[in-house]
Amino acid sequence: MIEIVTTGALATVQDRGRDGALKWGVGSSGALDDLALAAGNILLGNDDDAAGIEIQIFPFQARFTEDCAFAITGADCGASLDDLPLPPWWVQTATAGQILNLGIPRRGAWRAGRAYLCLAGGVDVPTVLGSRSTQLRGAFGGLDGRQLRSGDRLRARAVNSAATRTGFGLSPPALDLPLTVGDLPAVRVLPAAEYAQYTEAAHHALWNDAWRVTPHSNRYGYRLEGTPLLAAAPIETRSHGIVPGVIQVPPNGQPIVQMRDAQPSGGYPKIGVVIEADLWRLGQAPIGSHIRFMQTSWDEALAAGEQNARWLTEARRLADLHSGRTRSC
Amino acid sequence: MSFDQFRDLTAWMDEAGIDELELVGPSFRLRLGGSGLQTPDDPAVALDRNAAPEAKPSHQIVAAPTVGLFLHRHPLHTTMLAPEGTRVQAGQALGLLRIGPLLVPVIAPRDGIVGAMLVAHETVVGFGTSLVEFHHFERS
Repeated sequence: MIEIVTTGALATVQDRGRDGALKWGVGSSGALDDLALAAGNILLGNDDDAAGIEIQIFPFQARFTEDCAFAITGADCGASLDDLPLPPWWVQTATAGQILNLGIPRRGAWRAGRAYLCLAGGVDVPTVLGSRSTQLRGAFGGLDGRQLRSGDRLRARAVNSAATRTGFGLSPPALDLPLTVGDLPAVRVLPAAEYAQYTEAAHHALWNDAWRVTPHSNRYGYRLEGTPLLAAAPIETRSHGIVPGVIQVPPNGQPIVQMRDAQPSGGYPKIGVVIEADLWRLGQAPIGSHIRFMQTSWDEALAAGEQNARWLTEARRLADLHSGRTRSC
Repeated sequence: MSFDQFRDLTAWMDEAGIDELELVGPSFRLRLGGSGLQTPDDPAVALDRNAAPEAKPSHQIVAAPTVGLFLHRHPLHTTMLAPEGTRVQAGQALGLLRIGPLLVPVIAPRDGIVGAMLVAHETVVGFGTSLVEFHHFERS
């Protein structure tokens, strides 16, 4: 069990998402960097659907009230367990009373904004509509449907986790699966329904501008700033179903990328959609940073998903081998 | 024991893949270490008179716990995990061995001070390869 000692706003319990709930008008939620959460679970030998804590405001401090194996992934926050420095993307065993510290994310080979803390067996919160993810809009899931506060206590689902072999890590997929244009992180985009109705200048800007992540960016959506994207003629659309990744263009021409806590429907025209396999890259882009869009195809989008899956499978195989774990599946 | 015999001993250790040999007698301690990686300027022989009653510096070689690509620094970092002279705690990572995406630490065997890196950054090493010199204080 851990007790949150210090946390900024918006730390939440997240798993890989509430898939299949859009039909009830419930958004998907889930970790913005799904690869980082999956890597944390792999380091611990957890199931793929185990929940962790997504942290986006630092410093963050948690005290272990029992011996517990844990993993930290995502942004490199110069983590330490008491005064033992921990490398990034690392699994370790804490003894009761020890304090985990995460500082402000460092600018290193990979600039990222969100860190993940996973516990052996996953964070023990009830499953709601098939997921443990916090659904802030509906105020359910996670811990009482809300962000974490100092003094909150969370249980790990695994017993005897201290017996698990820990003290090793993974190389972040941002380094193993890099995607940049120039020096900027990039995400691949498929043109969406209203793409053809935008001007040539808008198309050029979409693919060639460095888009700034504005401070009005969060788990609901990323509001980007660049050359306004203008349609050749006014577009009228009725409210319709949307998914995370959709790039909407409101009348001011500044695009909004829908993220994991997006509403399940919207009425703005859609110029494109960030492919599912690259949403983690956008989810890690810090406020104030710039990103690039790269045009892609259906086949490339599927191949990118398979590449992520291969990385995770290889990481799982090696982590299990190293820690002497055997899995039935 | 003559110095020629020390050379024979270290050659045998090399052949057998033994990194360190320690002999302790009533009035001496003899430690032979890492002969394969030593240069003529840096003899593999350390002979201590076991007389000082207080804590005294001692050194050992940290070896590779597995095969892999030896890294002095984490892939995300530009600085070394533990440069020579760093005071570290037992269990702290001195370097990393990379196998695909897996990173296995080369850890400090006890509280102490990091010595020289014996293998260059990003070198493929085998199990048991001598990687890092390590100094600690022994209570006698």
